[in-house]
Amino acid sequence: MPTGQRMDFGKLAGEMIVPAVMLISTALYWSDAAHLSFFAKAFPLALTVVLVLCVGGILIQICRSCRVPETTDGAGETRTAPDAPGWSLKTALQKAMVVVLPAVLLFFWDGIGGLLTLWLYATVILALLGERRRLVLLLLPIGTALGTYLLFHIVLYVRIPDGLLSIGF
Amino acid sequence: MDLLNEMQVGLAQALEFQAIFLMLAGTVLGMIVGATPGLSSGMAVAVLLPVTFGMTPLNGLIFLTSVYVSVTYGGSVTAILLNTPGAPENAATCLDGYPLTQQGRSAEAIGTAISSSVIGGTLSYIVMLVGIGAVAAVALDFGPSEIFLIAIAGVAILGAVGNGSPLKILASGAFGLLIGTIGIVPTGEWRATFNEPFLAEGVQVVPVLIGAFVVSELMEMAGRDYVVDAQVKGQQNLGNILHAFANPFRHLWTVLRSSGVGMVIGLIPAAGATLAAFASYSLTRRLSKDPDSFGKGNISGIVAAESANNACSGGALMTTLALGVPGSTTTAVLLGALTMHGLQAGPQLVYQQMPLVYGLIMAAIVSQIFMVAIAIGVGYGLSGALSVPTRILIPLLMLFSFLGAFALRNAVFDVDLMLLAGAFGYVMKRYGYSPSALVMGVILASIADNELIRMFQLFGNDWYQEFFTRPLSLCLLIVVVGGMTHRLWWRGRPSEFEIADE
Repeated sequence: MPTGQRMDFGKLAGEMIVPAVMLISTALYWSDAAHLSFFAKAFPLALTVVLVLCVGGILIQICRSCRVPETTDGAGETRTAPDAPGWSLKTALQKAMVVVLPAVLLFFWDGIGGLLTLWLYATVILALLGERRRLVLLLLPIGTALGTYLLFHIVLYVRIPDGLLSIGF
Repeated sequence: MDLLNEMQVGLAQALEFQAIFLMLAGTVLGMIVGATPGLSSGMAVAVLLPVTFGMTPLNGLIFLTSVYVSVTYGGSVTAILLNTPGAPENAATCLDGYPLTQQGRSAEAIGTAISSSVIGGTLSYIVMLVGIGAVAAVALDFGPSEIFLIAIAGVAILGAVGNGSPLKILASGAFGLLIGTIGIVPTGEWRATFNEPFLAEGVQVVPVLIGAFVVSELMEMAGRDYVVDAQVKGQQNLGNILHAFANPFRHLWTVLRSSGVGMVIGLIPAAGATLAAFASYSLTRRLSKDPDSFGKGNISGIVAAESANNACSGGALMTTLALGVPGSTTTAVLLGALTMHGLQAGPQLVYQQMPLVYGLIMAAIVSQIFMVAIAIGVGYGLSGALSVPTRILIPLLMLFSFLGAFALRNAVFDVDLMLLAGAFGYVMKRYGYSPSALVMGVILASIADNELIRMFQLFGNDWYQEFFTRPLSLCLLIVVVGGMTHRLWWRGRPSEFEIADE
């Protein structure tokens, strides 16, 4: 039973993420836009009304679904909704790292340079995703980082910082 | 005569060496993405969008359109062989394609799908070639109320026909529209920018697109070894593939009707090729003398689905170029590409950039020839064997996305925005919201907002009367409100589209 309650709470918390982000962002939006003229506020105001009504409707639906009693099968095991998140910690970490790692590496973007940042990201994410072959771990990050760097820097003239590489040249 | 001249100029541009090379490259890439389940056309076009930075607008659009169109071709191969649609628009093809594979007739199914796709695609681009001028002429008479409603319809129709909770789709769209209003207002005021200079021009569409379509998909893939794990039961027989090319001609009425359905649905903002394929499939089954054979390997089912989903691309592109409102999620990305190249889609584009518009259409028609050849190769050779390890795919696509977002303004801010959009898009998908509606909202917000402000300025306190006194506005209002109300009212009952999808 406690496990079932935890699952319920987890699913409920998950369901609340998007409405919460939407409402908090809307509140932030209006904290900066409240002083504007009617022309500038009319459309966002209408959208806010629609958004709040929709989120209200969604929250009512979530509350209703919470009241539905959980069913158990013959063996007494609790059944959870088919879409309930059922990841392991490792999977959750892998998913999070796809976006958290580049966000962290961006702090070093100018310092260590674009190419090294890309190489570092490719190496770490490859290892985190379970690649254990040393040759792949060595060659693939170099290849992908160098390939994309050359495409964007030389072919598309994107100004990517040299960082540490500029010291040697 | 003018039209003929423009067609001639367009054809000449489409046959230039660089254009042909980009068509081929786009087609091959699109076909590979299409044949890889889990990768959508929106994702493919979004990730490749930054590659077009250095190209001319026409060449960039030719490349991206080739990718867009060929994904649907490639997607049919895995739909038939693996019962896993390579792209969502091929879901209806699974219904009869996979049973044919189980009967050992996969080559016949692939041949039929390729030839139906060519006919549907070519017909829709020919109609687009002839009709885009007329649509643009009608659109020139649109007032601010009509343009405002068409922009809103882009999001509302997604809620009305989309697969999922209409409330969640509508909330996603409204939130996207709200985000899209950030930036400098036509009145000169800075709205919700928090004095951040990078937000002054508004929230950039490209990082949001890449985040919502690519990064969120990569997060979804993380934790799986392969994009899809399935055993191919293909039958490599080139003779049977080529022999099956005649099948659509044996079902001529079906292919013509389905192409028409696809084209019309493509014209409706945000309706998309998935709906076109299912609507056409459902119609063909209803009109068939033997409806029970559908779902058990009826060739007509493949003809209906594939001709409709390919015909949809012409309609969707026409709406995008002539009205400035995306006809589908992928054309929303193409709209982002146009904006990136400094072009504003809409009736003025059709008149002021005729060489570009007709060059693009002629290129789409010419590219159909390449697609047949490459699709046969994909159908014969790859046979859905593209079980790409995610640990290779994720770093590769992520680096591409990273630099793609950065390249827009050489700003780390845009990379942060992409990561934020990706993480949020992932959570949205996980809980049944629609990242597509969010992106659609971000793209359409400035159009809707500018037109509403124009209405205030032109009509003062009577601005709202414009919606009721102009016949077209009233029709659009009824369609938008009626569609949403109908879907919300009947939300308890799954639609035929959803049943078919299951």
